[in-house]
Amino acid sequence: MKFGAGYWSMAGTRLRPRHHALLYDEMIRDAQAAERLGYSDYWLVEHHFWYDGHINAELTALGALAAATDTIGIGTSCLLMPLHDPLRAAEMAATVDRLSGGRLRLVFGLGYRDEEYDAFGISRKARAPRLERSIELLDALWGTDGPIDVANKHFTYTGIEARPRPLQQRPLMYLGGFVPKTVERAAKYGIGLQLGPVISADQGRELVARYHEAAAEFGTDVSGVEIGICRDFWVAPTTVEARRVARPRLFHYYGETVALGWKLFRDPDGELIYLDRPDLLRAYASAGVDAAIVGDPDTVGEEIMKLRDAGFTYVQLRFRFDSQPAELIHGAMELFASDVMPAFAD
Amino acid sequence: MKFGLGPFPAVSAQDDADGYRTLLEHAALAEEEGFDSVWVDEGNQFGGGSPFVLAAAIATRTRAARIAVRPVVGLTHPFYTAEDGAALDNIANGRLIFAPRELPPPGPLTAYGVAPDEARERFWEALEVVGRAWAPDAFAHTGRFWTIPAGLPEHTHAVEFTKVSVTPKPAQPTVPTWVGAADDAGALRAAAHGLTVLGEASDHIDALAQRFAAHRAALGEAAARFATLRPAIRDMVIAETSDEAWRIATPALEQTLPTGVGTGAGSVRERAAGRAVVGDVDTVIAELESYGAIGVNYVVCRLALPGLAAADVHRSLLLLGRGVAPHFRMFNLAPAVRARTLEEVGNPMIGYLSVQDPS
Repeated sequence: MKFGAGYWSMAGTRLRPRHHALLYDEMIRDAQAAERLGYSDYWLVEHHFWYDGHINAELTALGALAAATDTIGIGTSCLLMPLHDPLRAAEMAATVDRLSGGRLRLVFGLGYRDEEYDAFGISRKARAPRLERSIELLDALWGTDGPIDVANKHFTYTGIEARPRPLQQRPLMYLGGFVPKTVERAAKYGIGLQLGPVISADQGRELVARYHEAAAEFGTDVSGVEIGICRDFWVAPTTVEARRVARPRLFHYYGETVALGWKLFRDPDGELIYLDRPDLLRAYASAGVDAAIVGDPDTVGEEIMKLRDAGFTYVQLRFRFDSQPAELIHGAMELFASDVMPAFAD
Repeated sequence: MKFGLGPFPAVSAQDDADGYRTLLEHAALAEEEGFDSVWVDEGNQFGGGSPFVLAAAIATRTRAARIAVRPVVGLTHPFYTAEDGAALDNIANGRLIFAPRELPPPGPLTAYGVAPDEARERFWEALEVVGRAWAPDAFAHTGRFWTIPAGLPEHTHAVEFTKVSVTPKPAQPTVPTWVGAADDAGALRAAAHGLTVLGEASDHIDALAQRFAAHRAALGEAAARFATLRPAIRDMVIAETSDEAWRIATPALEQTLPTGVGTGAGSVRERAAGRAVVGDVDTVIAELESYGAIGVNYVVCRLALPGLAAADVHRSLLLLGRGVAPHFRMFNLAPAVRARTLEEVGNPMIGYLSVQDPS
């Protein structure tokens, strides 16, 4: 089983406002620590136009990480591909891959915030086909020698070719998300999964099963493909200590950033859960906090075992909730690497 | 006079595995040798790739030199440029220079199906959006090509979203923005926006003189007194002898020098006159003096010309940093001291290179 550190969002939150030059400096140190401690990959994430300066330029930041690290995988989790110009994103991704010696991983996501789509002048309704056409464009661009023309409802390019080409013939690709449609789409393209953090082990098991079913239906070969899930994560010598550090910060994160900022929580009718329904808002935020893996090494090991049993081969551990000091984060990363990771070595 | 190194093409050669490693080494060396900035280009005739990604990598290998990016601007949504630039400025601790060219090269124009005239209009509208995105205030924008926010009816959760604030902001209060103007009209437009004009490598020295004069006149006397930068990019090769420099430079300049009406017919040397700077240290100094005479005070030296061996670029870099730049940077160095050094020990750079040149 593999473990990644991520995703990092480089946000200077209300709980802990920071200068972004410091945050990006810490990003480099965190990635170097993850590399030294044996994590497979280090991941960034994307959102736009939020007060805390949440990272929106993952591929540029990965350029810095490519030069500052040597062996660890570096990636986007997620790159909100429908918000991007896929040709521009392809050139940036290929540059990262060459700079890093072939260490780029790409998790694609749809995004969901109306504000983000509206600022870019892209209809949110077009997000799924834009994602699919973008994946197809990357495949065509990186799988063809000569120039190609692209003409569909969403993108038109003439005579384009991959310059540069990625060092890997095709960097590892995944879809991120939460719902059956995500895993079905990933199966259709034969690419990996990195599911979101609030999915329970049981829900995860169902999604992984659906992924394999769908792959069989589409006739795609997904053997050896990485099936990952993300977890908000904290480990400390005792569970009491772990909860003391993590839970208030996670509650802030889910209540303020995820619910009020990113407007992620919606009721079964698709309606936004916002300040006009405070009880429901609190319940959803609590559910997010409760889905986190928080505890001493034995406790977190047991939780990870459940994910492995559910069919996951990879866990992305989100150590950074944008409010802990770097030394606390490095301590937790080190404790996990020394006391938990070895038990899951393949 | 100040000196920048570059612009490096974001792809030095198609699928050149060592190209990026060499480039990062040269960037770090340039800083050690006293260069003021390192430059990265996008979409020139030698390749594509992302100047932002490469510049972020350079930022981790340098501490003091400014990092200038030359992205194509206006063919895609300007927020991509604004967000990448702001992230880069933070990664680089406030060292970003933003130096796009007004008219994108032919490759991207064809790829995106945009005619040159439209591309210029898109450039200026995009530049305005980028500038406002980097400013502290939230804003809305309505232009010919972009409406921000778009206010699409299906975005029901964004109905109160009438202004946008791009975050994070750059680390610098204002990102230095230098425009590679396509012609004098572009220079006037840059002046109207209060921006610095950057001379392109393809501009003849006479055209540069005219452009800087036009820009200065348009700025007005008071503004011109503060807008003191007159930067220009020059293709440059320096070697121990001028013959050697030309031997190395000629095949590369065949590719980089503009062709066509008004660019001069005949040999590479004839076409290079007033554009490329090639020679030994003394020749290059003399030639740069002529640029100084028309007001150029920041030379961006494009040493990594297509097809040049890394060792030749390395040699040019050292000769420039130690032989040429001190002549201009150490403006109050007594002439007698400079003359004595050259007379007594010849060119000290040659002695240094015979030990250090990795070739």
